[in-house]
Amino acid sequence: MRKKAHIYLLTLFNIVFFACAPSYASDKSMENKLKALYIVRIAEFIEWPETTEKTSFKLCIAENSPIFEQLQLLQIDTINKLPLHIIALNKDTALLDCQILYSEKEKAEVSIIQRPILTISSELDFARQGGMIEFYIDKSKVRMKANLEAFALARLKPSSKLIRLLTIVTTAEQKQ
Amino acid sequence: MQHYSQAIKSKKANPGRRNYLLFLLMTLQVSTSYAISPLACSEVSDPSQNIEDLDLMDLMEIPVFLSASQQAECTKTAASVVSTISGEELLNMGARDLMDALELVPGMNFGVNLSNTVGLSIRGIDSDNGKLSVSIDGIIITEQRFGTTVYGSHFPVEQIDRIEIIRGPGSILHGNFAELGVINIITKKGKQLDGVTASGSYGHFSRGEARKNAVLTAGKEWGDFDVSFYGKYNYAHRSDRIYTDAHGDSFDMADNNQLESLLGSFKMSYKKLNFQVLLDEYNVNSRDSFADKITPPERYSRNSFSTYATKLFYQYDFNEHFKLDTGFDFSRQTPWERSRKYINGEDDVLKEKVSVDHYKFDLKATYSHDEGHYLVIGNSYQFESYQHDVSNYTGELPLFGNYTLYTEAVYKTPWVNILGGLRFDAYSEYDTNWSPRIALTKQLGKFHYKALYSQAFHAPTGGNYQLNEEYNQNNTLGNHVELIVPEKTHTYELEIGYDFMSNLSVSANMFYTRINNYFFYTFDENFDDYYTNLDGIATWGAETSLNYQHRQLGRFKFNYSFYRTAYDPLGTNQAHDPDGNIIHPNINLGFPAHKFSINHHLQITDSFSFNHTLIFSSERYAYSGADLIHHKPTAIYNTYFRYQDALLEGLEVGLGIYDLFNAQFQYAQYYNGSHPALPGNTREFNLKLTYSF
Repeated sequence: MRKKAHIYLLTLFNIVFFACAPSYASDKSMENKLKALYIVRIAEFIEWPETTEKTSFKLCIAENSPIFEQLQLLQIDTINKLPLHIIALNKDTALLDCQILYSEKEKAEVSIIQRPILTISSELDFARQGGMIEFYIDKSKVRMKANLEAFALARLKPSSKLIRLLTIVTTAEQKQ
Repeated sequence: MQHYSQAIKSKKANPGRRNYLLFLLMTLQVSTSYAISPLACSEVSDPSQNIEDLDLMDLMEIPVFLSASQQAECTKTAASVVSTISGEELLNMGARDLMDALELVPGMNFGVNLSNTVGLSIRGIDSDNGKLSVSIDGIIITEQRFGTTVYGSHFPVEQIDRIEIIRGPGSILHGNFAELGVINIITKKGKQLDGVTASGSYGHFSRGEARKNAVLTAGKEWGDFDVSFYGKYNYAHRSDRIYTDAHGDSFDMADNNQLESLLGSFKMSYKKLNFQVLLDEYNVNSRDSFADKITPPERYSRNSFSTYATKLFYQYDFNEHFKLDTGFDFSRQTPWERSRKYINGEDDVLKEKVSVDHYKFDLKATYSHDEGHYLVIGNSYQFESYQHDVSNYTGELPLFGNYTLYTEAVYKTPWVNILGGLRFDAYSEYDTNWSPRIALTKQLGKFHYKALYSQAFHAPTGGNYQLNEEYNQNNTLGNHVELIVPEKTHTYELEIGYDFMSNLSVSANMFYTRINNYFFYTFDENFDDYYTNLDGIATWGAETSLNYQHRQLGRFKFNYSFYRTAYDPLGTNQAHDPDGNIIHPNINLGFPAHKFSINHHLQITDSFSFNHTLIFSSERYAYSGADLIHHKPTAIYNTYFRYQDALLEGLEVGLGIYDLFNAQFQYAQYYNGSHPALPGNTREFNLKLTYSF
């Protein structure tokens, strides 16, 4: 019986070993999961201008972004009781239809800079380059920098509760 | 605990021993102030399970990688096979106490120990004699004397934030009792409670009262200061059926065989300093007695279990990478305090009362790297002193001391997280030991795997020690038995898991566990009892879990587990025919070879939900006297309706029907102690009201 058990265990171990060989993913799943949740929670603290459509939320994000995958896994389908649609970005996506844009770029899209679109990124200096919220890691925790000028340009109002959680930065280029 | 004795003798602890304790205390404090932290998993919520429910402020407290203690609870990356049950799940399913929750965990099965007490076996092996560590907020409630935990209307669920269960050894971090598993109950903090909640429930079996209880929880956070409290009184009955002993005598358990518990806890934290107190009084009345014959109708027994415990814990962060945890635990437990009680009001007779004082000092340092690598080095000193108020033992038990040094390190690569752990124990009574642990784990996108090897070292408790000394003093055959030596356990585990879709995940594991020098409780021809070491026993098996969530149909949780005896050369845990031949070599006593459970939760409206559970156990074998009894497969079906904010905000109404089809589970004994199976309850209707403000 012991021999049999050992054979079963060894077989399973081999299956596991070879099965995992083709697949690879970075070990940032927790960080990405947290960022995905941050995006959804942040939206609850932001007031969009009256003119913005209020029937649903469109969150636009590149399909190959690891945060896109986490958003899918989390199965969050509402923000502030409005349906949430996660839009996979491609070259044909009309950015103006988005209420939230998670960008992989280090600079906010100029074309939407005055539009009521909450722009978020993890890229270094995103907030100082005109983006609204930039994720960064400090003491092993996800933190946020925010550019309130960018919020104002887009006519988005972050709540005071949210502002207390942010590190405020200013737009570097404009000041110079 | 499987010990009973006849004569009554008392012995006070030697005062000199107190001085020795003080000396040890001072030495320890002067030399290091070192102590071990309880490796509590209670600092943050389980990131893999619960963070979806957290608000932004709470999310900001979650680290992007997990520290050593947090790793233990993250189901996909933990270097253990882990189950987590959230407090919300417990409320949704209308769990009456901890038993309802643990029934859903693969590998766990309840059975009678003796005298109306129910214990837990895990992966085919009974967890008594210190093989399973059960704690509330890091305070170990497994009693220190024999290492048992008694279940049944004992541990409430209303205050629970989550239960973290390691189905496998956790000795390196969780100590001597974590040989086969760890159950850590984490209660809510003041911040989570944020107010007062009062709750009461009443349950009725088909033929008698099931339970009535009242619970009060309260908590609040003021800046860095967090306070929480809960208290529960519970009066219940194990069953309402007829118990028949091995000689054909019987009694009606309806409104009989009471279970009475009083449990309270107070927690306070200021920044990284935590203080808590836990009080637990649990009384079990019984007529079924400890073996095969019931007590005469004019009297019954009461076994009382009390725990008074406190814990002080402090964490100091030197910087973002390096932190120090230090703590002190103290508990006084009086388990298995046995009294004889008379129906006619005659005075009670105290038959046995032995108290254990447990002290533990911890110091642990954790270094964590930005990439998630970490190193933990900790050490602890703990000791137990015994006080015999009434006992059959005429001697002094030694002071049971234990110094532990342990380390665990994880190095992460893109393909594998490599964990190595090592624990060194030096026992005052049992020599020294090294226990290593190796784990290879990784989550690779939707796939995760774990390959684990762990050793565990389990030293006998003072109660184990005492029983053999007592036998040598009192047995009438003039026999002499040796003190038992520690058990050494080797466990191999492999787990794989895959998220097939965003709403469908599956995991499966195989394990092999072997305990060498297995503690075996036995009798001589005069039924005087003692412990001996067996060469070893082993089990192997497989466990699977499937979670599925559908937008309309709700959430489904499915668990299946399968067990086989892998090694038991003497067949001591197996079923024999009258000639001593093993008739079922693959099933350990009292344990089903197959068990599955399905839990389905349907949120019908925002405030109204329906939850139901099916628990199937395959056939089991157990003894009644000398007769082997075959227990047919059983399927228990429970339902629960939960209506929140009913009539007014904060009011909740719950209605549960448990064992709807009246399948009537039998708590079969998981060792050959000749005790017939204890009848479980019949169908129970339970109404619960809760008001929060």
